[in-house]
Amino acid sequence: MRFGISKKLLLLIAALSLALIAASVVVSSRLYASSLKREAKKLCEETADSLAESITNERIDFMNGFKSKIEAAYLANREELEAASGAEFESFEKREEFYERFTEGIFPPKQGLGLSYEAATFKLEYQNLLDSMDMLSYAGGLDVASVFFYDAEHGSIVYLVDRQPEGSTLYNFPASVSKPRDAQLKEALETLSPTAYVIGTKCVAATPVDGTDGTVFVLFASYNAETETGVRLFSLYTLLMLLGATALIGAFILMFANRLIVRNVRKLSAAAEAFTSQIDGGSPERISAGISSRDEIGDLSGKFDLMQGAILGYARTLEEKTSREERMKAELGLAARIQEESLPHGSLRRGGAELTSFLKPAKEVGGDLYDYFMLDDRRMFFCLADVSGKGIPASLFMMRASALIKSGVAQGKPLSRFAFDLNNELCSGNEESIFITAFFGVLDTLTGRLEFLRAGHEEPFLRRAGGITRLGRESNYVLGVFDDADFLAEETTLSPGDTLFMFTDGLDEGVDPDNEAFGYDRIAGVLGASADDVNSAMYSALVDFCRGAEQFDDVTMLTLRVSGLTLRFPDPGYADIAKASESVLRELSAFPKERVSEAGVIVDEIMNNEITYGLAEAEDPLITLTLRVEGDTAVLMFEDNGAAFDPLTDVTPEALENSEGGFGILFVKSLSDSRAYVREGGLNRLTVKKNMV
Amino acid sequence: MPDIIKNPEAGTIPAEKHTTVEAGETLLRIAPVGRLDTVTSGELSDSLNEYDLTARDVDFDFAEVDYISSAGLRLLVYLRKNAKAGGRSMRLLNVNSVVREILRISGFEKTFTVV
Repeated sequence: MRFGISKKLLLLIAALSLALIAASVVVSSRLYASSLKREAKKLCEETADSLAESITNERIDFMNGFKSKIEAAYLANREELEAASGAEFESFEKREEFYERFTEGIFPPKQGLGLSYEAATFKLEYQNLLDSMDMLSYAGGLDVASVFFYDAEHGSIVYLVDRQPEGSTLYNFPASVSKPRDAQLKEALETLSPTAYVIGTKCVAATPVDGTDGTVFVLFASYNAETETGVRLFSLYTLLMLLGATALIGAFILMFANRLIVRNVRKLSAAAEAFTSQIDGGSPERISAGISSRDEIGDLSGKFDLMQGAILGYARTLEEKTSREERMKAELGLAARIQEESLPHGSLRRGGAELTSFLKPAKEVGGDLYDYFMLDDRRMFFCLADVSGKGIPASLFMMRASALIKSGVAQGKPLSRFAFDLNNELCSGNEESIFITAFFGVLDTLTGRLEFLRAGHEEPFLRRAGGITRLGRESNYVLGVFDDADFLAEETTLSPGDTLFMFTDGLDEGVDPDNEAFGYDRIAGVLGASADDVNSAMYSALVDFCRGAEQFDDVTMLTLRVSGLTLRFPDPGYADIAKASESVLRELSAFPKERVSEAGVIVDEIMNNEITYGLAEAEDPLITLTLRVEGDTAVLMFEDNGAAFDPLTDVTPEALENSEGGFGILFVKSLSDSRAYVREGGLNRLTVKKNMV
Repeated sequence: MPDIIKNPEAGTIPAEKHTTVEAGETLLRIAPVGRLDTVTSGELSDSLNEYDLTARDVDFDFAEVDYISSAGLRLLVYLRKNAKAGGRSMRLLNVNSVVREILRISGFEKTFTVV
């Protein structure tokens, strides 16, 4: 819920007013009550003094006579009277009856005629005393008036005359006894001195009549409960009036605050909203809140205008910056295209070797680099490199490296020397210490011999019939950092059916949303499962794995496949000839059917020859047949571990006798284009080449 | 009643087509399927042993034959020798270019009656 300034102000004012009013009412009512009590005490005192004075001056004889009579009755019946003090009576009448017994004869009878002078005088004096007491009580607004004497020995008040408010049952009959309840009164009675005091709502004043021993006292008291109520009522009225006044003042303050603050704040708020909404819209302008007051709100409005100016300035800067970035992005895109165009596209085929590439840059321009081309008719050069860092610097360095590699390779140096020179070239002027990891290879497409050099780069995977391995034991330095570093090249031979898979760390370090890396095991898994397009299979596996996580690094892959096949037949029999023929026919199925059939005849004849003659006496006989396609030529290589035997020239006696043995060799010679036999390492190796077109 | 022999080694030739041997009153018609190489020639030779190869003319149909090796050639020579011994003739039908080339190289082109 919104809690506006007006509401907050109202609450604050109300709370403060209430607290102030309560405090002032409490204080003032206290002051008022205490002054009232003082007045009441003074009144009691003066009234008691007046009565005492009037008794002393006008009817002291009557008073003394009346007192001695009651005193005599009291003394005669003291114990009985004291016991009756505070006792319960069935009714007022019973009580009256009880006390009248003791004062019989003191008061003239209520009925009957013919009063004695003495009795008439007593009655008159007594009535005068009552009238005086009533008059004084009435005039002073007092509740109780009494005349009594004090029996100091027993600490008892003995009543002579008592006046109570009308209807009260507390009337003290003449001769009735009570104990002084208040310490002030008791002390005054014992010392025969006047007293006046206030206890709670009770105000009491007692004055001795003539100050002699055994004198009577007059007492006036008021129970000013009504006065208390009056004070309370007065307080309540005051409170209500003050509250009303406060509410009025509050309303005025609110109106004023509304005019002064809230209305202006709303104006500011509306201006801010209008300004914000047009910022989203397009061409924003300053919007004035239209506040002219010279106070804090006016200041705020001024600052708001300043802020708008700052925001507009910032927006303009941002716009310029954005358009600069757009231009930069477009240029980067162009650079990326130039870079991409500088890399070879499509696959490179020569003989049985086929090289395919794949590059997916992470940013606009990448730091990955690959290249491949033929050095001559037979030798295929390829390289895969990763420049440290990303973006434009990496890309520029990569372009430089690319040019250096091309020109370096053209000089025809051995790989180790080529890497040595390339490293030194890259080291010179490389203040940024950008470095390159790289894998270089030169493949003799005829023999499958591969010379390669690994400079700090990931070992490629090599998939062959026996399984998947990593290639490259020598780990050379990265390029571009250490001058005159030595680089060691290595060699291996790729057989038909082998696949060499090279990649940059964008592949194995590609992560999924849980930050798990793609890793070597998954690469090996995909490589083992995919037959044809390894690069595409690998990339789609990576994309599936990453589940939309951002690609942080360039992903570059080179796949070198040596087509053809290698078949091994331990302890070969004639049934193996059918297997071999079928594999060869399948491998060559892209060529014309007649040529394929002729290749089938060649396989049949040569293997038949090997099994029938060459291996007849061999221990653990083994035939290995490899097929490699070099362009349009099928190269079939037959190896066996039989006795040295060149079927092309050696004609055994059995072969001469058996006419179709001779036919076999004749067919091979007629259907192929070249044949070569060597005896090497205890093996007969017959290589037959056949043009397949 | 012509006999139909199914090649026992079905794996060596396409399963849907089989080498057929039809032995009539006067004609033995042999129609191999696939390769006629070291393995299949031996098998075919074995299956033909139940017939009197001297009693009928022989028609050897190459319509479904991919190629023939020297082992197949040996079978042709064997069949022809038997037929000739019984005073019968032998014809090679539907010879394709590969088979013709083999016959040419071996010099049997003129020896066989190629139709």
